[in-house]
Amino acid sequence: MAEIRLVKLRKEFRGTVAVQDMNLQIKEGEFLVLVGPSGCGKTTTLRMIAGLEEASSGEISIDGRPANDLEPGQRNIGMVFQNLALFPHKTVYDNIAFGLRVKKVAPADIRVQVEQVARTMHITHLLAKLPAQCSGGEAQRVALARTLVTNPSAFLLDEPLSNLDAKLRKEMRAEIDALHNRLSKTFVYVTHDQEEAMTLADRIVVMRDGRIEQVGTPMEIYSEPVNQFVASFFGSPAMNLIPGEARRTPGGLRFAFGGLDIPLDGVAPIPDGPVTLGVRPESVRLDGVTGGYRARVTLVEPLGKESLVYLDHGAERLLIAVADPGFRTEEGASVEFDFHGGRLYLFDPDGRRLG
Amino acid sequence: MARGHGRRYKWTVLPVVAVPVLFLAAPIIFFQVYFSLHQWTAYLGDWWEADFVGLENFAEVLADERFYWSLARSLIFAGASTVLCLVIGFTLAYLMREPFRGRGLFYLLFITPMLIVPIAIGYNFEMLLVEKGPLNQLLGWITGHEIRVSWFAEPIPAFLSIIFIEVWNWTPFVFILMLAGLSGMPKEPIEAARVLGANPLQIFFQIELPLLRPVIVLALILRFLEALGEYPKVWSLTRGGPGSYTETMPVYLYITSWQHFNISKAATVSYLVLIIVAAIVYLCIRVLLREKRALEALYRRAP
Amino acid sequence: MTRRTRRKLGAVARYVVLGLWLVIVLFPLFWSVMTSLKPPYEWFTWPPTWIPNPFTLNNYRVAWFGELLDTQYVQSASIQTPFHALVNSLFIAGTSTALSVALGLLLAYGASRYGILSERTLFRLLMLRMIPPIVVAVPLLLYYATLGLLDTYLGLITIYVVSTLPYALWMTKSFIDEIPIEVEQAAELFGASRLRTLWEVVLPLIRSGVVATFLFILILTWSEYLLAVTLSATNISTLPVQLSKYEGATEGRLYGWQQAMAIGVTVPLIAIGYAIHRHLVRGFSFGMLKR
Repeated sequence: MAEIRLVKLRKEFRGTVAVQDMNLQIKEGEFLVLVGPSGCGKTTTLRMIAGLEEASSGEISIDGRPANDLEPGQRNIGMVFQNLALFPHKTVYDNIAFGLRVKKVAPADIRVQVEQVARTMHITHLLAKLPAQCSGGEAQRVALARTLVTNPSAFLLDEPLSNLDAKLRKEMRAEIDALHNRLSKTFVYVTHDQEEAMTLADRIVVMRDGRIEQVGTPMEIYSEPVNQFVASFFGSPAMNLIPGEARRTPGGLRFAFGGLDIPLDGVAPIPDGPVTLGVRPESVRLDGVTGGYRARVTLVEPLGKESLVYLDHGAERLLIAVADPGFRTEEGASVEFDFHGGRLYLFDPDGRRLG
Repeated sequence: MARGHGRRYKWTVLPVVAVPVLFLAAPIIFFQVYFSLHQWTAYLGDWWEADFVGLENFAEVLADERFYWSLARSLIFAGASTVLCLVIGFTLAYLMREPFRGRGLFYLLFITPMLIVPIAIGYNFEMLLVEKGPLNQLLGWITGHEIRVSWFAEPIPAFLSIIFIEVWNWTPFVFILMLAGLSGMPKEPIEAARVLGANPLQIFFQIELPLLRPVIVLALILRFLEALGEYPKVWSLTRGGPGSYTETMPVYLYITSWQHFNISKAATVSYLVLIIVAAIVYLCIRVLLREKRALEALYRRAP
Repeated sequence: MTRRTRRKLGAVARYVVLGLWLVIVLFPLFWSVMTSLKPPYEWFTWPPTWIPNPFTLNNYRVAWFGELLDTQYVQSASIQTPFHALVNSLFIAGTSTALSVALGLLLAYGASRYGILSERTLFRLLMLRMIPPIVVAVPLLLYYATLGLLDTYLGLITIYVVSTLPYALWMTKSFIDEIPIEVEQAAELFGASRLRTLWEVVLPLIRSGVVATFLFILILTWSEYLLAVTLSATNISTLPVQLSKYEGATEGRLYGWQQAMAIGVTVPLIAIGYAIHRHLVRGFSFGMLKR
């Protein structure tokens, strides 16, 4: 029910530009995630959509209607804050009922709706308690319930899981995902955690320094990053980046660095010069490799379902490879590796992706 | 910290402080009791030779209309000035909670009245309120009539004047407390309320005010109790006059002690006042403690 | 109406209301300063003189240096130089404040780290201060008279220390509470003694807080009037007491001189107040504000 459109949105704070010329169209019912490092403008953008910040210039329209001049309460949206923002002096029941009471809903109806949403969020047993008496996860659900009950057309979530511990975070993440599927309403979600972005989003908007770097589905972002920043932001462990040189030889384009001399096939012609090679750790193969590139193992981190192997191949930065748990090696051993499966990415000195 | 440390610390430090306090407090109470039970007139001999009169002094005071009037005036004075301080101080603080140009300057200027020696304030306002003074002149300009109110020689204006001066002097106190309270309020719940559709009035009454209750209660209690005992300003402006129209309890006590030299009566009165104030104070402690506990409960996180 | 317009209107309204109170606050101060610069013949005029013409500094010279100026206008006033009172004020206020803060600090440390005083006791101490001083003035007077402490420094200082101790305690405690106890524990783990920890670790961290407390209590003791006038005669009269003696036998208040003296007494306090204005709240919030 809510398509949100941002046109040339810009926000300045006393000389610094927090959001620059942002154009975005959020589709109805989609789960859109704004992701990026701290200070990239994602929260500011969200707050402008909510109406808590006034845009310096540009337009926001919700459902086809211009919303710039509307107060937050008039935009028919719900918001969940990073630190929940529950009313500390009101009971859970009163917290949830707040939005309805503001709209002057009859007390009997309020009771019905609050109890219903409490059941949905499994917090019925908390209704008489104060927020301070609830655990982190419980409080989180209360915050969700509070917005749910007002039946908004879109939900804005500002890093709601950042203050939870790891295990709780995964649980709540799944619940938010389920909630979205059930309601089929527009969700705009802000986070700095790329894993959250990847798992929850229908589409991801990657932001940096107030600008959109890339917009796309998680898979698009992951396998077709538009630049080095996006590429290294996603994926854990992060993509390996090896600076070197591209050289044209009679046998084709080759990437040269230190001990590496890698043929590049299927790549559009690019001029000679410095480039950065990107390869994801899971694309580096160690098992049963012959005739590959040589390197020395400096560290092995067993993670259970896989092991991370740190390889020294003559560069400043170590190459990280992901190996099956069965692969045996030790620190100091000499191994051979090559690339398989996945892609090799080339980035020019400015970070843009080539070919 | 080690338990032993605590106990050792306690027993070294507390006596150092408690002993002088006791040396002061005990005799004071003794004297109070003694003089309220004995009739002593200063020039008739040493105080330890005064006659024991039992509860005669108490009977005299409790039958004295002037005593009750002074208490009533004190209560009205303290009540009215406290309420006004709160209303004005809160309004000022509310208007100043967001940064704006000149805010720092306004703040410094607003807190100034609190820093001025009270007796100087009394003299200052006496200049302003005198019959041929600037206040009457200003009122004359505004209303177009000639105003010749003597603001401290006529009964009702005098009472209003002392209330006004008290408010002028102490609004900064409430202002500072309120501003601190408003500034310290968590912003996100208010934003959440905005998104949920609450208008500023609803936000104020349902969220901000309840969260400010401890500070407001504190300001009211502290101000009220101090205003009960206010002396320099009232004395320097009206001396309790005209007649005894502005004779608040402290002024009444002063007159009894130093102008009538009726030490016994003074002791009796102060003893009675002490009991009344102690009762009020006791209640206030309970209220304050309860507010503090409630405040802490709100912000404590469950494990 | 757009949000921008609404916001601008709100700003205008705010300036109007604040400006109104500002005028109310500043006008008496303005008048005081102007009066201190008026020659005697302008003190009682009707309509009242707003701006002195000519400005004169004579009032200050009379009030603070005892020069016998303008005697043609005011004959019977007896002027004593306030320097004796100034010295008294400095000594009494300074000493009592220092003692009060020192004792308060000791108690506060114990209360904060060892819990030697329960919360209830702390509030009781606070309420002790709320007893109107007039109530204890008479018994105190008699007590001191019996002990021979009337008109002595010791007497006044003692009562000042006792009556400001609650404030000193609360304020320093609030500063100590803010230092995480881990800092002291770390020092202990390194083998530092209790005293050394206090001196080298805790005190430097609360230094600005102690200064603020000192100045706050200084304001209280400096401007105290009732007990000072009750318990002093000639030896130890402080500035506020001195100020109250500015009355001529026939002319009533001697405005110009009085204001000149009042301003001299007040300005240091205002300066101090401005210096610690950020910490003023701590002096009297007593745990009711979320930190």
